[in-house]
Amino acid sequence: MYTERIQIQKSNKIEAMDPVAKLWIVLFYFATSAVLGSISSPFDGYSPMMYFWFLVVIALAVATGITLRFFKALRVVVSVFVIVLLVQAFIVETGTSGEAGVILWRWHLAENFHPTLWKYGLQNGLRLGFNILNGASIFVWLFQSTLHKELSHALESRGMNHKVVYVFLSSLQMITVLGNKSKTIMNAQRARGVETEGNIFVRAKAFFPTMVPLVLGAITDMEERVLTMESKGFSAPSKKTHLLKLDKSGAEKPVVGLFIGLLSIVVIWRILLWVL
Amino acid sequence: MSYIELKNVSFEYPGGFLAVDDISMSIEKGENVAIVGQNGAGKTTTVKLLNALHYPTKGDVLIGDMNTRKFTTAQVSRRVGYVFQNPDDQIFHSTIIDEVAFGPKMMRLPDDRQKQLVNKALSMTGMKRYRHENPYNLPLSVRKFVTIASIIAMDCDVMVFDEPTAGQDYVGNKRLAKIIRTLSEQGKTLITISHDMVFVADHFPRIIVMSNKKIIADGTPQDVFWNLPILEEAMLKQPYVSRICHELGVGDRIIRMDEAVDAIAFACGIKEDMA
Amino acid sequence: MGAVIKVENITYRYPLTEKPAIKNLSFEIEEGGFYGIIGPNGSGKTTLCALLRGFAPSFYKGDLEGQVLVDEKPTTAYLEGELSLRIGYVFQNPFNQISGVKDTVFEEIAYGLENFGVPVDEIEDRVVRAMKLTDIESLAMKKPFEISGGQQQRMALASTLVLEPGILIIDEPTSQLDPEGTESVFKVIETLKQTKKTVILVEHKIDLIAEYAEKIIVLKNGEAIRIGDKQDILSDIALEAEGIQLPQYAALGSRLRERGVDLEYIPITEKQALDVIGKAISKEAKTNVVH
Repeated sequence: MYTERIQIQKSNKIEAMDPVAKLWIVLFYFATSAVLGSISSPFDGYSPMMYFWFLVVIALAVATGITLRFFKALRVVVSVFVIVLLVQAFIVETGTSGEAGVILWRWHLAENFHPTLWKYGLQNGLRLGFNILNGASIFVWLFQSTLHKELSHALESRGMNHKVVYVFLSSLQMITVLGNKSKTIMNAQRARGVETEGNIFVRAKAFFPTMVPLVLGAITDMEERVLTMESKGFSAPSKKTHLLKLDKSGAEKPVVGLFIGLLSIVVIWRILLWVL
Repeated sequence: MSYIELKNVSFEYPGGFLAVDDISMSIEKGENVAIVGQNGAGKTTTVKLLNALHYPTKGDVLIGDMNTRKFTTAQVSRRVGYVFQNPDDQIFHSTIIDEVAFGPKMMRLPDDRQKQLVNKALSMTGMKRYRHENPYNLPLSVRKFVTIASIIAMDCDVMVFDEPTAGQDYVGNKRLAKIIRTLSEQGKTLITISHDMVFVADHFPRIIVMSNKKIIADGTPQDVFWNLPILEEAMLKQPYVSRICHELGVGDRIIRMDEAVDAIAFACGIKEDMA
Repeated sequence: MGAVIKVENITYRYPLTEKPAIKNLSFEIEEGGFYGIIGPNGSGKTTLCALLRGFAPSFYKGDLEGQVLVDEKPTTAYLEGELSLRIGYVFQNPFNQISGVKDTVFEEIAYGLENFGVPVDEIEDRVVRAMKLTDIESLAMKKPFEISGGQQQRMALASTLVLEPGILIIDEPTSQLDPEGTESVFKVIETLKQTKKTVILVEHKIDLIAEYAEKIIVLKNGEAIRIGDKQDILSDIALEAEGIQLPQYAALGSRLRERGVDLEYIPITEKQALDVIGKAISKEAKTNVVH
């Protein structure tokens, strides 16, 4: 039975959660992270709770059983984090103009060259960096634990327009298709004397010869694509059925509940800090 | 030494997929060669090795005194022109004349030489009357001739045509045959990939058969199209008239229509051409 | 059997063009017939297909005079999607017919049924039947973008057949395929003949048209210059002067006749050629014995 073979098989209950529940988790995680970022007064201007909050998404990834995939996908984000942190910490002296920055560390390398670690820059860099890291990593968790078709199916069955869902799904596949197509076009242009490798100026010259066929090709292909979709009843008024069955895994309520709980605690804490 | 030499050439894609397996071939200057075989036999990979779109993972590809390894595709393109299967991968100008003039312009030839080459290419391909049109106003099968013209205008010694007959009608096929004949008479070395056995049998004195990443036959149309085990291995068929003559046991290794007419007429007792 | 499509004196212009792509065309498509549409490039073959299916004018817009009736009702009067269940359509480029949202061949073929709301327990059977008919069941779990062109084109055929349309329009299905892929597609088309479907096929490979079609419509510059039985039309050497290729066997037959060979009729298929030329040769052999 092919219908059974195409179903999504997941043994981990958190990984197998309803994608919409996962979206709620993303939302609550985000909100909590934002509130935590603003709690800095008791900590000399740092926001350490936000750094710890990052451990929560790691714990979530481990519990979901996707540790390896998660960290692999996170590599780019981590390098962005490091760059942001370094740039901020060593360049931004102070938040208010005219005020002298607090020096945490200064290294006298040469007479006119002494890299300085600024307190304000470090605080700012950490806050910004962890904002990026937390925000990105929860999405990494979502997409590493959820198939695109799972997510789109869940959204469609919740009433999202099927055309929007189609655009989302097909553009993901189209990226690969267009990538291959641009390779072919690049080859076709190299074969008539256009250099596509070398310094930036050489590459810039190859821009038009490769982009024009790519765009025109995409437009001409579009016509056949649209008509094919039409032939497959894409805009038929009947109610659609789905071969893909999505069942709840049972972990939705406890896990989402946990994140609501965490958010509530953090919000109460925030309010108490204001009031007290 | 021949003008084009492939010496024990293999090509493996970066993923590890072997597309051409230890092939050797020599093509003399001015030869007119067809390569036939099913998709996946290694035809396109082989011709891409000729203009350095691929570099051999084993062996060497020599074009005259050039070893392709030492040159970029763009450099080799001055000597080996390549018409891609899909014209829409190449065309990016808004008039046909600009598209055809692009190659000579890139080569920084003198102005009058550029004009001369472009004109020649436009007339040879029948595109002259459309020269101020936008290529996209013409049907795909005609756009193919725009890309053929733009390669002819580069005046390379060697020209490669990848599936020029795909999607062409009767008139297009005839025009294509004429272009190939003219270029061949001008001494160009031509290498054409085609799935159309009738077209190949009619217009190419030498045919290379590829199957499963290797060259399995190389010879005249008679040699190739009457070697039935080879055709079977390559999953190809004899041209229609050859099939008929084979079934009827008429003539000696018939390839072309006129030969078939002669042989059958003879078998029917009509001794000479009455016409 | 009655006419399933009636073309009533249509003239059609694409938007922003003066010259009609189709001119004064009238004919009928009989139920269960197999029609080959031939003609030079740019003669209007694809436009005619689009008109029969109603893509023109509904999608392409443009200006249509006269009307195309499908089951006695003008194409312009059908609702969106309604004709998909009556007329299947297979395009030239197999690649462009992949939805781009399904991971396996099986799901790709099932996509149309999902869209039309066919109950899930019915889908499996219908898809399996369509895969068997097009000989791609072994590819069911493969990725649509990763199979060969011939296989993709058969998948496109399956995606259409699964909707069980009574009429099928196939527009140059093999122009991008190698001989093996072409043959595999035509094998499927041949089995369609037995399913009593009405088939309308545009194809340049005239020898295949001669083999499979029953009726021929010859277009040139948007006009039908011939409509009729394939035996009459494809054996007519005058078509060559119109820029239309004859089947190799017909060309051979005509040239043999010119040479004085006494052929009973002009063959258009291999079987006919073997029959009629074989007879001519053995007749000569007999006369030799008599003398």
